[in-house]
Order: sequence, then C-alpha cells, then structure tokens
Amino acid sequence: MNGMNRGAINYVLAIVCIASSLFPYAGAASFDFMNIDIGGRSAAMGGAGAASYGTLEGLAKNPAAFASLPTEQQAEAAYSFYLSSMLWSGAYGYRFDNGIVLAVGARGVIYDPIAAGIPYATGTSTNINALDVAAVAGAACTLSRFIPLPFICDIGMTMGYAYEGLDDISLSAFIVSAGGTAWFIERMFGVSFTVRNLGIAGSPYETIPTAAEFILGGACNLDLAPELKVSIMLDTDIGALAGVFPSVRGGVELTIVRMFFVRAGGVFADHQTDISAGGGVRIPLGATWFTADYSFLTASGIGTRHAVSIAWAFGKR
Amino acid sequence: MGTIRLYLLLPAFLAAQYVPHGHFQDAGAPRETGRPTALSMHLAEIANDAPGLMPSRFAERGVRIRPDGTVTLHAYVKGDDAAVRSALAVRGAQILRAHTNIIEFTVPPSGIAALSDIPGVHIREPLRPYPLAIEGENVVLTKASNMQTNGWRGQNVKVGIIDGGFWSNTQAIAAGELPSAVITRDFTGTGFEASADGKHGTAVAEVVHEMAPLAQLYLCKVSSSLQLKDAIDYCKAQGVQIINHSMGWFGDGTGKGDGYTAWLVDKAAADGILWVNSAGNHAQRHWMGMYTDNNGDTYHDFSGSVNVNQIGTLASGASIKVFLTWDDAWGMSGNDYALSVVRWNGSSWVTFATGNEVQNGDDFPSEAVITSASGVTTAYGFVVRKVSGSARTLKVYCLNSDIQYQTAAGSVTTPADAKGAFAVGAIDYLNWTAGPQESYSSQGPTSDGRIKPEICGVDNNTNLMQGRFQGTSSAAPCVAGAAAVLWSAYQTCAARDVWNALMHYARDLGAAGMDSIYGAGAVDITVFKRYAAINNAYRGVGDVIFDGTPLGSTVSIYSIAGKFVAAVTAVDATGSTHWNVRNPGGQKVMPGVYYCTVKFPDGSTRTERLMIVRSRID
Repeated sequence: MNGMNRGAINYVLAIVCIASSLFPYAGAASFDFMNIDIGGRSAAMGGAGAASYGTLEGLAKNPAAFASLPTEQQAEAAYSFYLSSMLWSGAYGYRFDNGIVLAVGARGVIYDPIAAGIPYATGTSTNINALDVAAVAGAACTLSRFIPLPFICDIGMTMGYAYEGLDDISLSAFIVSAGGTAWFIERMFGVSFTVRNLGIAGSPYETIPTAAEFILGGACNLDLAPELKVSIMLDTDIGALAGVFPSVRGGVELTIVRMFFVRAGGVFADHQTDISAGGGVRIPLGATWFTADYSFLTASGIGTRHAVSIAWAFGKR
Repeated sequence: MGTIRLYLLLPAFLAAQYVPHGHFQDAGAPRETGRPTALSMHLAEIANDAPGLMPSRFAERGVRIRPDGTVTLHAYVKGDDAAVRSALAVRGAQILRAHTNIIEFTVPPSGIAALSDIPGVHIREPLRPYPLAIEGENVVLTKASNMQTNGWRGQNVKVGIIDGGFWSNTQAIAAGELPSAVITRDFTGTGFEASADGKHGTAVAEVVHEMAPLAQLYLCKVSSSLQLKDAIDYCKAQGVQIINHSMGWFGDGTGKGDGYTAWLVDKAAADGILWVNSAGNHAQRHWMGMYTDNNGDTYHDFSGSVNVNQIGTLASGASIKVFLTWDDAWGMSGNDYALSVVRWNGSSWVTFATGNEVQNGDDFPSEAVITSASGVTTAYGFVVRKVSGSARTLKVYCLNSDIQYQTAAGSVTTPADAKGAFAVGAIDYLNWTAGPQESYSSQGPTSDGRIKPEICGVDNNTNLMQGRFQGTSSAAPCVAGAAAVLWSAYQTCAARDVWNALMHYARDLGAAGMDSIYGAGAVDITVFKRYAAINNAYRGVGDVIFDGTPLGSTVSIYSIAGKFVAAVTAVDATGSTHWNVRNPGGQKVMPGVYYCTVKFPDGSTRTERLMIVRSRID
C-alpha cells in the first residue's frame, strides 16, 4: 500500500470518527428494527458480516456484500422470532453480465398486541399495536472490474423507505446505506466500512434521526484443508465511540465439503454479552443450489432470538 | 282529658302528614290541539298573557329581558330559511346570529304573538345552560401548591371559562382570586356582570386560577346555545387551549352526545381544544328506563302501577324544572310524549303544569316543564304520558330536587356526554383518598354505552364567591386547572396528550380501571401513574414508572435490535422505579418498541415490552 492510499485511509477514518462522535447514544434514534440481524448466517456469527461477499444479506449488513453474487440470480427469505415479536425479510438480486448487481428487499416486524391499559378518547382501554415495515433497493458492483486497483474492491449502495406504526402515531423514514469492502490476496482478507440506515424519520410531531450505524468490518477466509474452509468475521460499531463501549461482533464459520456450515459467534457491547451459534446446509440441484440456515442468539435484552433462512441461487454462474 | 283531645286531633294530623301514593289518574293534562302557530306551547301561552305579566312569566322561565326591552328567542327553520328571515324582519325581529337551522333573534315581548303565523318554523325559548353547582353548601379551597413547586403554574396556557353568570369580578381580582389580566366577553347582550345571572362563572374561574395562577383566563358569558357557539369560535380565535364549561344543557340530546351543544363540543375538541365539562349533579335527580304502562292508562309507571315520580314537598315559589327526552333521532321524533308536573291537593294528584309539544316526525324528542310551586306547601311530582307512537327509552332530569325513583347510571348531563368532552365527576376533599364520590355526582355510561365521566376532581373547595363550592361545577375547573399546569410543563403537546396524561396520572378509585363512577379515578398530576405492569405504552409525559420492583431491582431497557439503551435501579422500598426516558447521554429516547428486563434481587428476571409514543417534543 503506497503512501497515497495510507493517507486516504487515514482521511476517511478521521471523517468517520468525527461524524460518529456527533452520533447519538442508543435509543435516541428511531427505526432500530432495521439493524436486527435476521439472516441465518450473520446472526449465527454474532451479527458480524459487514465484510462478506456474494450474499443478499448485504442488503442489511453492507451493500457491497451483494456485489459479487455467484449466480445470475439469487432469492432469499428469512424469518426470526423472539419475545412477542416476529421479523421477516425477503430479498432478490440480479447480476447483469457486466457484473453490476441490482437487488431489492423488504423486511418487517410484527408485534403481538401490547396491553395498554390506557384509556383514550373513546373512554375504553384497548390493546395497542405496532408494525414496522421497510423496503430497500440498491446496486453494487466490484469496482476493480472497471477501475484498475491493486486489490478487489466491492462497493454498493441502497436506498429505501421505512414505516413504523406505533398505536396512533406513524413515522416514515427515508434511509440510505452505503459501503465498500477491500479484499486482499484474492478474497482471503477483507476490510469494510459501512454506513447503514442513515436517514431522517418524521412523525406528525417531530423529525428525528434514524438509528444509523457506522460499521468497520473485517474478514479472513482461509482454506484449512481441501474440503475445509474457515471464515472469521469481526465487526465493530464505531458510532458507539460517541461515549459508550463500542460493540464488537465476531464469529467463525466452518465450511465442510462445501455443503455444511457450522457457525458460532458472540456480541460484546455495553451491558450486553451474548453468544450465537447455528448451522446450515447447501443442497446442489443441477446448476443451482438451495441453502438453508438456522441460528440463535442469546440477546440479553430481548431473550433468545431464533432465525431461519433459505436462499436459492440460480441462473448463470 | 288532654290525651283524649290528642286522639281527636290525630286524624287531622295524619291527614296533614299523609304521604301521597304515586298514582295519577288525571288524563286531562292540557294539550295544545291543532296548533296552527309557529310558537312553542309555552311561548304561545305567554303571548296570550296580558303585557304586564310577560316579564314575570319570562323571569319564571329564566329568560332575561334585555336592556332594550326585548327577549332572545330561537327559530328552528324547517322550511325556506330566507322566507323565515324575511318574515321575522317584517315582524320586528332582529336577527343576532344563526347556525345550522337555528336563528337567534330578539323581539319585544309584545311582538311574539305576531310571529305565530310564520310558516316552516318552530319558535321557542333558547336552550339555556344551567350551573352544575349546589349552592348554599360550604367549600374548602383546593390547594394546588404541590403542582406549582416545579414552576408549572399554567404559564403560556389560555383557558376559556364559558359560563352563564359572572359577578363580583372586581372583588375577586382585588382578593387575588382572579388575575387582573382576565379577559371578559359577553355574548348575551345583557351585560357581562349582572347580579341576576349569578356568580357561578366567577367561582369557577377562581378555582382555575388557584390551580394554574399564570394561565390566561378568558371569561365568556352565554345564555343560549348559539351564543355558546360564538363563544367557542371566539376562544378558538384567541388560541384558547382549554375550555371549562361547568354547565349542563337540558332537553338537548338523548344522552348519546347527540344534541346541538354536544356537537359544538365535539367540534371544539376536533379543533384541538381540551373541553373540560362538569358531569352533572344529577345522580339522584335522574330517571331513565323504557316506557311501561302496566294498567293501560297511557301514563308511564315508574314502579308497579305508580306513575308519579315525586320531587318532594315544595313551598310556594320553589323552582321546578323537569326535562324529558326519549331515544328518537334528534329532530326527527314521531313518537309523542307529554310531561306534566303534578301537585298533591290533599286527596289526589292534579296537573300543575304541562309540557306537551307536538312530535309528528320532524320534532325534537323532548319536553320540559319550567315553573314555580304556588299555593300551600305540598308534594309535587311529575308524570309522563305517551300521546301517540311507540314505547321508547325515557330520560328525565329534575333540576331542583332529588326524585323518588332515581337512576344514577346514565345521569351524566349534556354536553358532558359528548365524545369530545372531558367529563368530570366530583369527590369531596374529605373523601379524596379513597372516595366515595359525591352521592350526587352524575355517572355514566352514556346512552350509547360510553364510559363517563373521564375523571374526578375535588369539590367542596373554599371559594371566595361561593364560600364552600360544591358540585361537579367545582370539580371541573380543578381538572381544567390541572390540565393547564400540565400543558405549561409540556407546551408543545396537543389537547389529546393532555387528555391522555390526565387519565394516565389519575389515581384509580372504585372498580379497577375505568368505571362509570370515577372514570380513570381521582385527578392527580403530582403522583405519576403507576403502570399496572411494565408492559405498557408511554406517551411522552413524565417518567416511565416500573412497579413491582423492590429495592435492589435493576431495570434495563434495550432497543428492538437488542442494543442497551438505559438502566435504572430501584433506590427505595416504594416498589417503583422511575426512568426519565433518556439514555445515559441524556438524550430523549425516540419512539419505538423497547424491551425492559427487570432483574430482581433474588436473581430472577422478567422481560416485557414498552412502547414509547412521543406525540410532542420536550
């Protein structure tokens, strides 16, 4: 890495640190449901996965991660459940011949009614309901296919709309996520930076920031044996540098004979130490394959969260 | 010998003390038959009186003669509005205001008879408000100091007090019971301060001022429903946020919030005004039930074959005001009922006064008798007769006396029965801790099943104007003042937020939760609402309080994504832990669903959800 690159990286880091220092503590922003780890893979690895590639989980983690879909098309659906709440998501991505990938996705949270006990103008108590819905669309590509670079560089960006209904108040938000991942020695080592879910939300009464995250991610993919691969992922929320202990998310994935996955990870954050684990299987079907994953996370604040996901990769490789 | 004389006198004594039974067989109650006139029955009677008697007849019915010698009347237009206006003008009437199909006008008493031939109109005395106070009782002042210690004194909050009479304002200002900057407005044309209209409104304003001394008060005097509309419009134009109306409008609506004044209240509420209304003092002066005629005499039987509902023994000159409505669509009644006040003449009940308008399909389902007792002191009562049509649910209010057959349930008055009205019941300050409510405090539900009142306020306050100010008239401004105090603390919130906060903070009394006696409970803005469980919603005012958290418990709050937001620890043995809804950085926590995990001293945990809904910015 030459001096110019080092200078650029330092410059970016300085901007990130300044921006993140202005960022609020947890709770001072809305639409945090956008930051729930739902995919079976990343959730099993403690939520790490910003420096991934070839996965539609990038719509939530880092748009650069869907820059290099292994097949022309990919579809994915996930379902997660935890205390009195359910989260679902779906995504679809299409890779053009020139390598640009367009992807769309949606997610939402369905809450069991919350007993209110609050008498409203009707004079009767009632349950109160909440609903979260979001839809995003974006594009990603491997920049190094178009510009000569000494490393592989994936970039991506998504934009979306989110809605949160809280009893009689509704909030709407426009959100933007963008990220880039630099890969070295093919895709053995990766470093990513992501700004996700940055936006402005509004209700009839106020305008507030969305729960944006500034994530630095790292990945290491190693072939331990001909049919045994290990991936190590590490993310840190540098937005938390504003005043509390930065959250660190990490995980390990073992890929056995390219079909079976075993994963484990953990989350270390302010008032939070949780572990996660899960597994998956990939079933080839001609030129396509299905993947099914399961994970759980002992989220200390909201109880154990389970997630299942399926993905279908099809079309030209 | 003396004993023998006593025995001889006994029959006469018993006769004098005889409590009359309640059966009335006089089917000859006067009825205006074939009425060709546009005038109501009572107006027609007055129009036929000698001119010299008219002022006293109007005064008896509570209608004031204006300084210019005219009286204010309402014309309910059923036909061509322009033609009616023209006909009124030709006959010397001066139109003051109009709304929907109602025209308010003045006319000399001598000119009333000339109005009788106007087609397509029904002319009657205006609906008028009645103070919901019990006069002559002593009062102890409500102390609002505990709500003012934090600097919440109603500053920057405008409170309108719409009432029927203001008097001695100068005295109240001089005594510090009213602010010197009070703004007054008369909509009656009879002068803002008129001793004949009483000082009820001044007493009400005094309570608001005690509670919220820095609130800007707008005192509006009205004596008709159209004047009420103008007063509301005026308040709206002045940016008034809270209106207190310690008055009831009888003979207007069927208890479903369907009368004209209830419509005005709903509209004001929709326009963002918090409308605080006394629930009424008629729990023992109200009867409601289905028309029943067990003996085929067309008179309603209140019990068995008893068709007289007694209103007590009255001396000459005692006021009698009885109002009857039934559950026909308002303004479209085709079931004809008559209401009569009857008098015990020593041997039987005889008709004393009757309200018997025609209901033939386009009329109000209401009758009223407003009169005064006369002659020797004796028992009075009222009867209801079905003239034609089908059996309906009847609703009767007697304003001046408790009645023999009472129905406390549903006794909430109009417009407190409106959906947009924040109806207030009354609890004596001596019973404030645990109740009961005042025995006369009107109760819900409304005739369409809504819980009323919303809340209870303190009555029996010491009051410069009233001495001891008793009744829901006193309780309502206590709540209006509490609302002003809250609003001054959270000045960007909306009326609904204040409504919710008052309900939220109310100290539950009676049956758990909302009930039709206390509503949400006793108004209490110094004690935060205890959540029955933490599984609840926070609406942007005050602290979230986690109950059932003994000393040593810790409550941790997490976002929906599992991020730590805040933690609070129970620091005393009250069992309640307060969270100021801010994170460790001091930033307010934004709307959303959060998870709250309580870790108890024994190591066990409990996790539930909390919704934060901010409808204001603090």
